[in-house]
Amino acid sequence: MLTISNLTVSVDDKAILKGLNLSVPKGEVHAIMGPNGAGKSTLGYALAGRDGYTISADQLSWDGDDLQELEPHERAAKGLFLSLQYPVEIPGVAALTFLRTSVNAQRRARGQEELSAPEFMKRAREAAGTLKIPDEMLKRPLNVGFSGGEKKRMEALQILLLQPTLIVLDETDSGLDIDALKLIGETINGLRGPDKALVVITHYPRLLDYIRPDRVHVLQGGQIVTSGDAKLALALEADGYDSVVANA
Amino acid sequence: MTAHPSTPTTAEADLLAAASKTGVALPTLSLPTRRTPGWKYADLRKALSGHLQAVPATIEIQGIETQGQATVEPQAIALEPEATDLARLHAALAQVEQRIEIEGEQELSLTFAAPDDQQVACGQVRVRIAPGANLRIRERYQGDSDSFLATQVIYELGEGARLERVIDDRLDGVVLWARVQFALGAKAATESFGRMTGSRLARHDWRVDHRAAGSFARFHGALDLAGSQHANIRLQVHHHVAGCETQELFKTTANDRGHAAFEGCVHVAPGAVQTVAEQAHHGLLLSENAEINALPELEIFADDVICAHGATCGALDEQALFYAQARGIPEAEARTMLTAAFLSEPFDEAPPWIRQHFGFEA
Repeated sequence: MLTISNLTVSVDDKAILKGLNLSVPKGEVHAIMGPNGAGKSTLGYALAGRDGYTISADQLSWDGDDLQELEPHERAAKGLFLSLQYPVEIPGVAALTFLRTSVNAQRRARGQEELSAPEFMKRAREAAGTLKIPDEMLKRPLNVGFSGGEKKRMEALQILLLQPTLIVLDETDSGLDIDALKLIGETINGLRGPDKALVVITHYPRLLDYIRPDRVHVLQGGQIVTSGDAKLALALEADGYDSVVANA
Repeated sequence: MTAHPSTPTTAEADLLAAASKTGVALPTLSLPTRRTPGWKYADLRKALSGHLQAVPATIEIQGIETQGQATVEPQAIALEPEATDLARLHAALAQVEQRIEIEGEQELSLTFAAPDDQQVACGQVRVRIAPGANLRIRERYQGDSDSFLATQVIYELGEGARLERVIDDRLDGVVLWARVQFALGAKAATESFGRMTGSRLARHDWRVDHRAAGSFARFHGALDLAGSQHANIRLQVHHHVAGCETQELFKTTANDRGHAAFEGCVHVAPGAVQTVAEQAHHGLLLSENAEINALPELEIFADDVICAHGATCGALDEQALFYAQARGIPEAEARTMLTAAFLSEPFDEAPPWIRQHFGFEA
């Protein structure tokens, strides 16, 4: 279970999240929707432990571990994966090298043996195949010169290889055409399982055509102002945030 | 303006005395200081204090003959009329130059070893590459003594000759003044790839002369400085004639109190039309006390040229650092990975044997 209780986050003394409460049980997919500037991306960064965010919370935990006590890489090793809206370009580091370094760093942190080069390559090629990522792309520097769709597929490849249990997708639909959106949606649906929780942060309900959420939460003014089932997303699309929030 | 300190240092007096024994009398010697033109980032006078004893330089020349011939012979050093006092001193102390004649295809390594503590060693090598010949060379500077190592290597490339060059340094405590000159004949090509970690003071003076049409020169380097290591690269490229090309790319990281200075100047003479010259230096400061200076310059006296220069300097990309951490890579490992990646770019276009030399995949 992801448990967030009374979370406040400020950046440069400006309060962004103001007492946010959210619980996501394992096996469920929750969507966080909200207008621009509501604090959606801040929630993702706060969960992942990015520097520069002043955080206080009564509880911020995943699967019994207090995330506040952990460094970003330790949170990742505990199963947290934050997919960024704009995946970072890293010149000079081949995608495969980055992936292998990540996988083995997490395995070390969990006390597991590192994957050998042939074993890692086998897994990487298999996962890349399902995402239609060519070998040549794996040899290029990570995300450098990749299109929006290629970057998101590379994020999905990381999820397949790292096997996280708490997956936070921040605006994964941005920069994707319909085919890419469908492919990413199918990949994410394939990840659903009793030991995993997904938090889908999105601006538009389009992604939710492909990833059916169990719960939808509206984030506005730094707090969850209303929650509901998948129908809430449809209402938001039909009537807009202001109207839905006013009637909540 | 050259500074003339009123009282010679012990090092200056020792160097003059050693030079006079060889028959070259210099009435005075003022080692360059920060105020000497061209020496702003390498204060040799300050770095050389205390007694210095002149000794012969140790130059190791190892060759692997593949085809053709290479010969090595000591020759008297001929000084240019405009040679500075420092250059005259160097010639006097080196006494002879090792002259290497290259024909066919050759592979050589040239290692300059620093002398013992409180010693100065000067060495000079001239490498003549015959028209159409190819040379791969590893040029190394090494030592960890409190000494002064002054070297000069002169590469003369005949028409269509090719020189691929690796520069490696393993220095600590040594004051290095390493001069390298390139005289390029028609359609000659040279590519240099260096990885340097500096020294107490490491000054690399490189001069390139494009003397005939169609010559090409590439200088790519990575400087990785930590502790209190220092490196100053001064690269002067002269395009005397039309239709030649120069490519320069240097990347520097400075940690702790490391100090790097890159001074690059491309001179395009009147009439040297259709010159292509690109020059870039990018720096990464890894600590509050590190310092990187970059002075890319162009002096263009011809029309119809393509010349560009650029310099950037900044800190490690925080977004990339977070991204790597968020994928499970601990901060220290992520910093190492990103820094190594930053320094790898100058080797992207290196020939396979040079990429392998520096530990990259060919």
